[in-house]
Amino acid sequence: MNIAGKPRHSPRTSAASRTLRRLMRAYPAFFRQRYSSEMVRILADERDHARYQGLWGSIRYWGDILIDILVGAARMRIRAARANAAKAGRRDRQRGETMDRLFQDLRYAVRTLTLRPGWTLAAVATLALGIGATTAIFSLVDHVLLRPLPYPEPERLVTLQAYSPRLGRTRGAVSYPVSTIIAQSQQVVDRLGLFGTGRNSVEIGAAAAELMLGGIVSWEVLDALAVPPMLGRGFQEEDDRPGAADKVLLSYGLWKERFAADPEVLGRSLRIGEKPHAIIGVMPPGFGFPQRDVRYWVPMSAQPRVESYHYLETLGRLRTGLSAAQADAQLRSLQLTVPSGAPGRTEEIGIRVATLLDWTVGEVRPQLLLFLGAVAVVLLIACLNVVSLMLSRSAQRARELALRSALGAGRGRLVRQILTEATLLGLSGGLLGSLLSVGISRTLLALAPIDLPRSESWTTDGVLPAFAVALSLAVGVLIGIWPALRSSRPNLSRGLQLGGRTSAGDTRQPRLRAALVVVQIGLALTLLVNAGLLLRTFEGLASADPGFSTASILAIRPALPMSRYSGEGLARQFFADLLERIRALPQVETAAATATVPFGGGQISETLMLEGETIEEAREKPSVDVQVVEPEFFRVLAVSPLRGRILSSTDREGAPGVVLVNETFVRQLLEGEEALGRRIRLGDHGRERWSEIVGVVPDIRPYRPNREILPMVFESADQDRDYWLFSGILIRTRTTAPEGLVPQMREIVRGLDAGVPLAGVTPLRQRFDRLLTHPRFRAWLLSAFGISALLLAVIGVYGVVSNDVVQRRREIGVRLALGARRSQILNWVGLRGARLAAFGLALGLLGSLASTRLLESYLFGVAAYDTATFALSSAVLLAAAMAAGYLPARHAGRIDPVDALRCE
Amino acid sequence: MNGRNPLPQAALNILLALLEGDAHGHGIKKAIEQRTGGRVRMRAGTLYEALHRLDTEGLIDEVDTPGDCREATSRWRYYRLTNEGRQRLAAEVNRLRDIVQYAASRDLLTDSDHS
Repeated sequence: MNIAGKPRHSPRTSAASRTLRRLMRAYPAFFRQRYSSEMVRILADERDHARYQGLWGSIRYWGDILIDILVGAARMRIRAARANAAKAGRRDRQRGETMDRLFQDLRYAVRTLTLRPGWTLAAVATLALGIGATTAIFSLVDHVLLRPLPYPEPERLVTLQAYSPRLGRTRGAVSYPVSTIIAQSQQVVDRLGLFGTGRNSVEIGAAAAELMLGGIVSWEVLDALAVPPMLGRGFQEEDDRPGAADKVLLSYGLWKERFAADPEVLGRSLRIGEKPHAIIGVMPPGFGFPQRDVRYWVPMSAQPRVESYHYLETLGRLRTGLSAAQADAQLRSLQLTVPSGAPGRTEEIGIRVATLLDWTVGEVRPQLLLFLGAVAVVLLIACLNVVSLMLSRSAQRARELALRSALGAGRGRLVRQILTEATLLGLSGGLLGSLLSVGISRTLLALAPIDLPRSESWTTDGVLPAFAVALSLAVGVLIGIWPALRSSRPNLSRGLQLGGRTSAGDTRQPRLRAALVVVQIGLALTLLVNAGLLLRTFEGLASADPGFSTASILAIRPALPMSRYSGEGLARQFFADLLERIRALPQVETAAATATVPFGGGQISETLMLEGETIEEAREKPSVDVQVVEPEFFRVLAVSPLRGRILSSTDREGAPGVVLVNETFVRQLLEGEEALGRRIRLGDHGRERWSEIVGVVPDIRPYRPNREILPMVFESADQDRDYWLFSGILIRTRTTAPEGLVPQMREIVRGLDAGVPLAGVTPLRQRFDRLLTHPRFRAWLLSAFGISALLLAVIGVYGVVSNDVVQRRREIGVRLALGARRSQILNWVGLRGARLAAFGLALGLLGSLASTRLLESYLFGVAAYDTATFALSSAVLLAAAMAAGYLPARHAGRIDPVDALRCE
Repeated sequence: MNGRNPLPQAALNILLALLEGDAHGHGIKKAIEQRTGGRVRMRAGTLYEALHRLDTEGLIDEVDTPGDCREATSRWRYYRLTNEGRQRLAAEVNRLRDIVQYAASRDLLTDSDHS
């Protein structure tokens, strides 16, 4: 009987026939042997016909037979498997029938969907957009928020956060050392250590010094993380002691790039901060603690001046069996006395336990959840669109369903049928959507702020398609269940009688679709308003006036190695030499060194005492911002005094102490009284020098523009030469493109000291822009969602109104025949779109009012109920909805009454 | 046992085609297309699956000798309606007739486009 695979008549050797024969393998062997050669002959014959119908014919042909063969083969294989199982033992017959029906339903669904390709395409594209965007955002959320950290038993990794009873909130970081905390938390946390990061100049071999980010960790930290080095060993207790020989662990990246992945690297050394460190190990690829871009690790206690380290974080492993919440409960009652930020002083703190994951992503969580919520709304709108499409079609299919019902199909059967169709739509949308989501993910990744934690490991992996499939199934049920339940109750006689006629029949159905559109418009408006607020926030931030000119200013930050520059006046001398050379450049107008570079270069906060206050009173006040600058600072930034004078070069060491203050200082601390002549003292750690206020300058914001303006004091660096250190130089250039001077600046620094790396040579404007990456990302993303929502809602309006026109074609014809003017018809139909929009807008305004509150913490310069944004968003949506209603209305105006009545 | 369930569409069409006499798969397919004016085009997979099913249920039978030799160059399997198949077909057609009569009594049979 074996004639399979070798048809006797002139075997076609074309690729198509080969493919067809290969397809036959889908069938079970017994079936294939019997029928495949005949089937291939028939299919090849049809293929020849299909080829005459061009590309589209071919596509349809292959699509048809692929579904036909695969569905049939799967059904047969399942049936065969079941027969086998039945032989072995008793099998549930019911299930068999269910499978049969499922395949029948599937095939029927494919047929109905392909019958109206335009309709199907619209539905699938809509779902693809919704599912694609949702999947992309979910995958971002998954990577950042949900994935466990890449360490063994990551849920046991915790950080102990200092809780400040004075501030009434968790203040976070602690100061070195933490022996008290360790002693007190021992019963719940094992191997508690400290970690921080720092940039330092690194020299490898003869290469020029380079600034690199290093991890500074107690030996317990790497132990607690439980990731062994891939080469060599990790830190041990004796490496982590004051005075211990300097040792370093390399990151995989550093080892690969700078040591050519040399396995003999152990025992060699590199210079960090100009001190040789022996390489004792290399960490495995992918290990980056606490950040991905850390290039090396050094033991904390062996660092010089470790006593002055503040803002350190703790890490430890919970003892087995404890959860972070339990640990938190146990330690909550503790009151500890620990070193405070100021030398020699202590403070009282409480302890809060947070998991390392929470600590890593806690800040971005609300923002990501906002994105997820927004994209879910887009998906919901998309689903409503498809529900509406399905309802419109089920009206047209009423006759078919009635007929099937009459032929013996039960209600359950009809429900299943429609659900199968919906699921098929959902899955097709999901398939297309997951392709789309890969593109969306890539775009997101390119636009995401660089400091979004854990986003660097974001790749499109298996979770993404799995989520897309699960989501598609859910969407399928969501869009199918309602139409299924509604249309599975066909009124037999009416369904059959109404037949294909399109006179206004079921009045509930269009009303339902109208309600759906109203909800869509409402949701879309909500998203638009939220997006609008974020856009205005971003715009406000971007155009915020920092109070000084940023154009043509370049900021350079040399990183002086402490080992060579900690000596008396050495750093100061370096800056003086550097300034001299920079000022000598013809393109440079003037330059000034400062202790803090604007926009992200750190801030100095000090406690302040006004003359006449007691120490206790002074401590009660919040601290003030301090700017330690050279007098030229004010010329560089073009800041002129409102009253009094600015600092001058005669305000030097030995001269009477003088300071400038800003307007906020006068308003908040002096209650608007005359500032000139008042005396203040900065800091409460042993500085006894009083300074007189000699000038008041306008408020400037050398930090992110949404930060509250604090009272600010300007002090000349020349007056306190030993206390302050410069961190950078601001250069006012004579060009509008200061970045052109970057190579020259590098050259000058190298000329002074080749061992000094530059932490940055950046135009000030660029530093400012960098502060805006998060607001920009938020505004951009929400706008994208808002626009998608708008488009989908508009499509919804168009669908409902045009369906209306089709359904009322006869009515319109009668009206026209009775003498109605076309403009009246236009208005009549167009008004319907406007009415839908109006209801939707009302709903949307309510939704917006409720939702923008959630956004409040992200807003700047715009209120959560900003009237302009609400009005503009509503106007845009209304205009779009009217336009969408106008198109079918125009069509209705052109209906030929004779035609309309004849089509009955 | 199967008598109570409606015949699937494919099976019904095949049995109807075999009323004309023995035929092979391709012939059955062509006959159905001819009878329905091209409205029912059965796909090969559906056709052979139904044939296989009808064969195992004993409603049709494979015959060795071709009744019609137009395509003698190749070997096709020919099928013939069995008595059981004929009875089953009759039962199905009667069932459909009842439905049609009911529909007719409700003045439904005005156009011919039932699909």
